[in-house]
Amino acid sequence: MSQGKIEQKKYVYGVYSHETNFLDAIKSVQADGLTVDDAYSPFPVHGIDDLLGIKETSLHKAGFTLGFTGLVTAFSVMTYVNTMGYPTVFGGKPFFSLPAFIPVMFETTVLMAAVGMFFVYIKRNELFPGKIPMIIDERTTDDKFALAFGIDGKSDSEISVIKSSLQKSGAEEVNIKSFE
Amino acid sequence: MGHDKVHFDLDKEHYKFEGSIKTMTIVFMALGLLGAIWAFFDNGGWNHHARFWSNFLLNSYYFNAMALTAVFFIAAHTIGYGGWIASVKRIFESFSSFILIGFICFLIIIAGLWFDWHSLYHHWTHPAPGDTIVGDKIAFLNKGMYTALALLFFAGWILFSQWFRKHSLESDYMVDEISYNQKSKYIAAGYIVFFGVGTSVFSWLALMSLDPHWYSTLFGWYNFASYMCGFLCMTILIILILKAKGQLTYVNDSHMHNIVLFLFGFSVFWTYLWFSQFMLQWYGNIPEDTMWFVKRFEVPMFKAFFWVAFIINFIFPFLFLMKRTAKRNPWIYGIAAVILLFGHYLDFYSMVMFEPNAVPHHHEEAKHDASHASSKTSTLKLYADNHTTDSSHSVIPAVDAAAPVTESSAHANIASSDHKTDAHADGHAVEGHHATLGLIEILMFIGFIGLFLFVILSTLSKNRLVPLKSPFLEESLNYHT
Repeated sequence: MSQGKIEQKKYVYGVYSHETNFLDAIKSVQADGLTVDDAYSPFPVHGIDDLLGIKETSLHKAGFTLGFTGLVTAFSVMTYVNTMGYPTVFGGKPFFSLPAFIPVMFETTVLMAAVGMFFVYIKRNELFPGKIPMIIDERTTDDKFALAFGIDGKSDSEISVIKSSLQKSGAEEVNIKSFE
Repeated sequence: MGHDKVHFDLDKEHYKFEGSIKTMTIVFMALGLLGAIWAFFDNGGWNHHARFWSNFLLNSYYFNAMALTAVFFIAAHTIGYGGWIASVKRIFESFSSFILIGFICFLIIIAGLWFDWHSLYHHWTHPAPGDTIVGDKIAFLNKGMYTALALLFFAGWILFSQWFRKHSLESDYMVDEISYNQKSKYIAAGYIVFFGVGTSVFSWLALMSLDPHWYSTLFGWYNFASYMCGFLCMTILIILILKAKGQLTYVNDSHMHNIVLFLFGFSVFWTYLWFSQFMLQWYGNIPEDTMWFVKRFEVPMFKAFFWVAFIINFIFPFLFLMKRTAKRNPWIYGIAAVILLFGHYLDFYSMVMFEPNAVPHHHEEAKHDASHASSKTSTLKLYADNHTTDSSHSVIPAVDAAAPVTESSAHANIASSDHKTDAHADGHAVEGHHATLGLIEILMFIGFIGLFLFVILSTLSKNRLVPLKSPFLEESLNYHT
C-alpha cells in the first residue's frame, strides 16, 4: 500500500460509480488475493480505511511533538529573559512568575502545533503549490470511484488476472493509465 | 459503513430496573443516610451541625447541576442539529427527573435558612457590625432574594426539563415528528438562555455567597465546567451499567468516542477556568480577591486539594483520554469516569467546605464555641500583616505600627483606604478548621450517587430507551467516525 503516492509508472484501474459497489469491489478483489495499490474517491468513504488496511495517521504525533516544543520554547525564553537576560519588576511580582508565563506558554503551544502540523500535512500529502497532481482519472474528482493496481514489471498474464478480477468486481470500465 | 443500514430490534430495548443494580443503589442510599446521621451528630453538632449541612449543600448542588447540564446537553444538540445523540437521548432526558430531588434538597436548605437550622450563610444572614463589604451586598444577599430566585430558577428548570421529556416520550406516537422537532428548537434555545443565566446566578447564591467578601466574575462558568464533566462521567457510567445489562446494543464505539471526547474537551475547559480564576486574582493582587486563595493555602488539606484537583481533573484526563483508542475502550473511559467524578467532587469540596467549617474569630460562633477557638493557635502566620488591627491575634508585631487601631475603630475607618483591607481580612480571619475529607464525606457522596442512579434508572425503566420516531434516529444508529 503506497498510501496515496504515485510510485509506479503504469496502472490498471477499474471505475465505479457508486460508493456501495466500490466498497464491495474492494472486498471482491481482495478475495481474489490481490492487494489494492490505490483507491480514488471524490469524498471520504466511511469504513474504507479499515478495508484497505490503511494505518492511522501519525499526524497527531507530529502535533504533540511540535506543541511540546512550543511549550518548552516559551517557558525557557521567558525564564531566561525574566530572570537572567533582563530582569524587570512587574506589579511587584517575583522575576520568575510561572502563572504569568502560562498564557504565553499556552499560546505558543497552540501556534507551534497548528502551524507546524499545517506544514507537516502539506509536505506529507504533497499538496504544496506548483505540484502537478497525479490523478489516475479526472472523473474521480467529480463522481467516480477508482481502484488502481501498479503493473510495472508485471507479466501480461498477471495483468490479465487483475483485469478479469476488476471486471468480476463490477467495474464499469477497466483502463490503463501511464504516468510518464 | 454508510451503505450497510444497521438494524436493531428497537422495540425490545426496554430496561428493567431490578436485581443487583437496584440493590447496589439502595445500599448506597442507606450508606449515605448513615453518613448523614453521623455527620449531624459529629463533633457534638458543632456550629449548627455544620458538617452535615455543608456536605448536604455540596452534594445537592453538584448532583442537581449534573441533571441540569443533561438537559442543556440535549438542548444544545437540538439547536445544533446534533444527530448522533438520538440513540442516547433518553438517558439524558431521564436525568431531568433528578431536578425534582435537587429542588427538595434546596427547599430543605431554604427552610434551614429561615428557621436558623444551619449557619452556612451566616456571613450575610448575620453580618458583622460595620462590615461594609457584606453590608453593600445585603440588597442581593438576603433570605427573601435567595428564596425567590431559587424558586424561580427551579420552576424554570423543572418546566423546561419536563417539557423535553414529556414531548420526547409523546413523539413515539406522533405522526408529524418534524414539526415537533421544529418546536423543540425554540424551546431548546429558550432553555439554553435560562440555563446560562440561572445556573450562573444560582452558583453565586448557593456557593459564592458562602464567602460574601469574595467574588469571582467567572465563578458561574467555572462551576459549569466542573459539573459538565461530572455529568459526562455519570452518563458514561450509566451507559456502561445499561450495556452490562444487555441493553443499548445500538450504542457503538463512535457514540462513546463522542461522549468521551466531550469529557476530554471539558476537562481542558475546566482547567482553563481553574487557572484563569487563580491567575487574574493573583495578578490583580487585591486583598479582597486573593484572601479566598490565601485562606485555603494556609490549611494544608485545602492547599493539597487545590493541586490534587488540578492533577486529577487535568493532567490525568489529558494524558489518559487523549488517544483515539482510549476513547473507545470501556475499561479506560470507565475508570476515567469514576476518577473524574470524584475529581470534580473535590473541586466543589474546596469551594463549599472551607467557609462553613472554619472557626472564625470575630463572630458569635467563635464565642459560641470558645473551647475550639481558644484551643487552636492562629494559623495565619503568613498573613499576619493583615491582622494588624487585632493585635491580640497577630503573631508578628503590627506592620502598620503607626496606626495601632482597635478592631472597632478599624471598622469605623473602613472608608479610609489603609484600613479597608485590614478590617476586611479581620472579618475573614480563620482560627482553625473542622473540614475533613473523612468517612462521613465519602458516605454522603456515595449516598447521593446511589440516590442519583436510583432516580435516573427508575425513570429510564418507565419508557423505551429509543426515541423511535426521532428524525435523527437513522443517522444516529449508523453513526460512524
